[in-house]
Amino acid sequence: MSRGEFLSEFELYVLLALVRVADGAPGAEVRAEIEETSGRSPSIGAVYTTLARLEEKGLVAFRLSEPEPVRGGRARKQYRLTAAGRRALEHSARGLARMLDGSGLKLEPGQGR
Amino acid sequence: MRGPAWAEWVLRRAAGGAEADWVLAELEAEHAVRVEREGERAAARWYVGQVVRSMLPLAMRRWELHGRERSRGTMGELVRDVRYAVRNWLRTPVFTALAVSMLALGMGGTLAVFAVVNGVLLAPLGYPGWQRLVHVEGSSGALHGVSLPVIEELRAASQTVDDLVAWQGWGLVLRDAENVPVRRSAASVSANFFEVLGTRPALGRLFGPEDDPAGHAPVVVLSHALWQSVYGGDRDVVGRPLRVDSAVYTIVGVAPEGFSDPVAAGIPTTQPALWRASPPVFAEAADDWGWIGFWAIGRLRPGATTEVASAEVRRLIRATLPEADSDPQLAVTTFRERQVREIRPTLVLLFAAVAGVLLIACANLANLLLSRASGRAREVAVRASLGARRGRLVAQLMTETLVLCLCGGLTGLVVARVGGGAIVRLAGGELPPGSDIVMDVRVVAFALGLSVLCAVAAGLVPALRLTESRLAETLRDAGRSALATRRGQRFRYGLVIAQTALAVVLLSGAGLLLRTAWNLLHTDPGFEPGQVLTMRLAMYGGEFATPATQDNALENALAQVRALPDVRAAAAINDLPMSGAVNSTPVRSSERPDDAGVQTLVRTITPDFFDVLAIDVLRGRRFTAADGRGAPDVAVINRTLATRLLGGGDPIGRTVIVRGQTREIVGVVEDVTEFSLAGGSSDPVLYSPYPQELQTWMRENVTAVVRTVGEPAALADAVRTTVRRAEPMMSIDAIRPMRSYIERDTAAPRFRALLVGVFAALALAIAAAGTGGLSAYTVSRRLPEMGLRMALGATRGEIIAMVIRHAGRLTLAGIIAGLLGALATMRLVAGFLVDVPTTDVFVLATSALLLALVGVGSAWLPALRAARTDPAKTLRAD
Repeated sequence: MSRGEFLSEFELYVLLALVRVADGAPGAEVRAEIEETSGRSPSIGAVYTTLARLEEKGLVAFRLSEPEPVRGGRARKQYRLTAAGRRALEHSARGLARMLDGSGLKLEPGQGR
Repeated sequence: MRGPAWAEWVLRRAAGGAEADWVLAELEAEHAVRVEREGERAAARWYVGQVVRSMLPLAMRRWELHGRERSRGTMGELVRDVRYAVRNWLRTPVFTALAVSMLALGMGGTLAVFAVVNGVLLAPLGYPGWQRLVHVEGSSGALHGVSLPVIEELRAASQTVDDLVAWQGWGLVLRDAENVPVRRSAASVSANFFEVLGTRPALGRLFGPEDDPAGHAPVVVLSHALWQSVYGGDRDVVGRPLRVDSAVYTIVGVAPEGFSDPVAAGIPTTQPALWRASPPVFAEAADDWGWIGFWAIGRLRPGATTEVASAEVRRLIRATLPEADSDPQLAVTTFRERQVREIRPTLVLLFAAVAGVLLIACANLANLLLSRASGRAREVAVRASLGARRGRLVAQLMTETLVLCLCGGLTGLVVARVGGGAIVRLAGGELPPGSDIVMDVRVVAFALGLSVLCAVAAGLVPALRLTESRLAETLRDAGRSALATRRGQRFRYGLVIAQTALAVVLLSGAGLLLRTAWNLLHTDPGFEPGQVLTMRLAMYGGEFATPATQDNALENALAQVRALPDVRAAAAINDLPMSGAVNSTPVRSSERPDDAGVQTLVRTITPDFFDVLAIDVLRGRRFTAADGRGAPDVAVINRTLATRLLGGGDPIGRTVIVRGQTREIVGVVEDVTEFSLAGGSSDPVLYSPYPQELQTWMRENVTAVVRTVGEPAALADAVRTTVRRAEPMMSIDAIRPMRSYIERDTAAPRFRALLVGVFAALALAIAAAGTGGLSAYTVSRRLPEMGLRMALGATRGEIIAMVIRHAGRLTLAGIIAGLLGALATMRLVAGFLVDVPTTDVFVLATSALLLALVGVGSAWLPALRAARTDPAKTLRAD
């Protein structure tokens, strides 16, 4: 992804969630983080497919975890931000911040929900 | 923790196998937490909600991936398959070369015929609006043409055909650069001729309304060829005078290069050297309903069809005919229809023949593919066990076959180029003049389509067969596959039987056509054509102003020719039999002068004519020198006229009325073939002595016939020189043996017999390859069994007999099927046959015999190979 391109709104949420949750977050954690922090309640399908596309674009990477030590436990993909992803995130976030700055909107956290 | 099973199932359906597992892992992880936090029911509700909301994003993602994989995957797979196929075929070069050659021959034949069709039937004609240009044809018995009053009536009254043009052949003599008279074919046309055809002049102008009768100056338009050959392309010819006979014409223009006179193209005559507009003879013939020496073309009005026009034209003429004349059969046909009418049945016949060859080739290919495939059964079975879908495998096998067929098809295009050219050359006069094969995009597209069709026809069943083998059995059976099952065998036998049957049908068709050609070549035309030389003599111009000068000149020339060594006799006639000329008029008996009379061919001859052509004189006498001008007018009639006009009684001494003249019958001669051997010899003819003939157009142009000792062609130069010396003002041309007219007449049947014969021979060869191939395959498969038999005491002879018997049974089945097929289909060629029944026993028996020989013969080598095997080796190898 070139420097000039911007992330979509949902991609922004997903990447921010990854940053907040720190390294190696599986999809469910990303989803939960978005829900708890922003009040937006995405489906796991939407989160998963967005992570898959971001991975194709090289903005995130995953590694496989060991299967859960329970019966029928599955292996899970654990995502983290790549350097390119971090750059893209900062680029888009800066753009958003500039738009917000001076817009006159009240942005104190805690005013969601 | 897993959620409700049905929800999980839904998610799996939406996401597709691999992705679903990952998504479920995340879903179940959070689900477990919620169960802890909120209880099972709330958690289950959340789970279902998540599944529902995830369906769309997951399905879209799946579609996205699938599409990407498909395009990259399918293209990549195709390229891989093609490369693999090419490598595979190159590994067995001999087999591949044979298969491609066979396909090339089969497809090449079909493509050649299509290329001819493309050039003849599909190419546009060279006139603007040619689709609506029509001929108005008339016929009376075997004689074709219409009279001028008919054309005038239609011009005035027809609501369906406009812009009618009258056309009449015009023979004239022009002097060439050395003042040597040269006879030329030309045409007289009404003034709107070029306008109706939409022609533009190459030089000067073409005819226009100012050239209509009513006191116009006589004008001519030169053909491009004449302008080049006689005037050297001189651009100053416009306005120059042209002297013909006693008339002076002004040259007003030159027709464009490549212009084809459509009437001349349709009758057996050469393209006119020039055209003249509305000559005086048109005025003379304007009231003669009996003179059907004209042709008519016109333009169909928009909205009218040829059927409607034909009906209207017939109705109009029937209403206005003077009662005394017989009803002409009138018909309106488009230019295209007329052009292809003759050739279409033959082209259809050829197409059927090449289709048969192609089918046989495809059947062979199918069998070849099956043999080859049985060696790959293991490979296919293993790939199937590794997860390759059947569709994928079949696609790969079909790609192989398609590559082979495409190679065959492309090579076939080369074959078609050569073969198509040969067909056009051989067809000669059968095709419209200027026809040539056209190899364009249509032919290439046809080749591609044909290749695909062949690949499917020959390759689909083997591919399906091969991929249905069950793995376990295959691996266990050490190379024997489902192809060796009863069903597989029956299929292969069926193919060979079908091939043999088709070959029998093709051979029968070829045999019938050959028989017809043979019959025609041996039909008695009523005269003796061998050792007769013919030539056209023309006496136009001031030197021949009176009939007496013509009599003397002709007699002088003939006398000089008679004096040549190797000349037995010489005579002359106005229109030679089988030359295509038509000169006819009604002849009435004096006893019933008001009858309609019989439309008769009129000939004028010198006394020796019947002797030169060895025509039998049945009653009475020939003409002699005593039957000259001033002597009582006499006539000799042929058998048909005697029967039709005078019934059974003795014609000698009775009189007939011809063109206003009364003549006494002094002799009756045998009928001769006047037009075509296939049509028989039953046209009424009346002969008059040359000096007693008064009509100028019957005198000034004659054909001399000379009976020679030895080859007629050898005397051509001597005769030409003699005539030139005797009568320098007489023009002589078209010196050809009488035989050449017979050959021209039989050209079409010979052409058909030759071509279908070639295709039938091809079919026989391919079918032989098929039978032989099957025998070889059967032997190789049953080698262990034969080894066993030999070990148990069977002699080599018995082994050979076994193989031969097996092949013989198949061949017999094929022959029986083929004979039944031939009996059913030969009626389709009935139109081409002359004196040969469609169920000719001799032909059918010969075809059957040929196939039997070939079928059994092709099994000989495999049989020998079987008998030569070493039992010990074959038994060990099992």
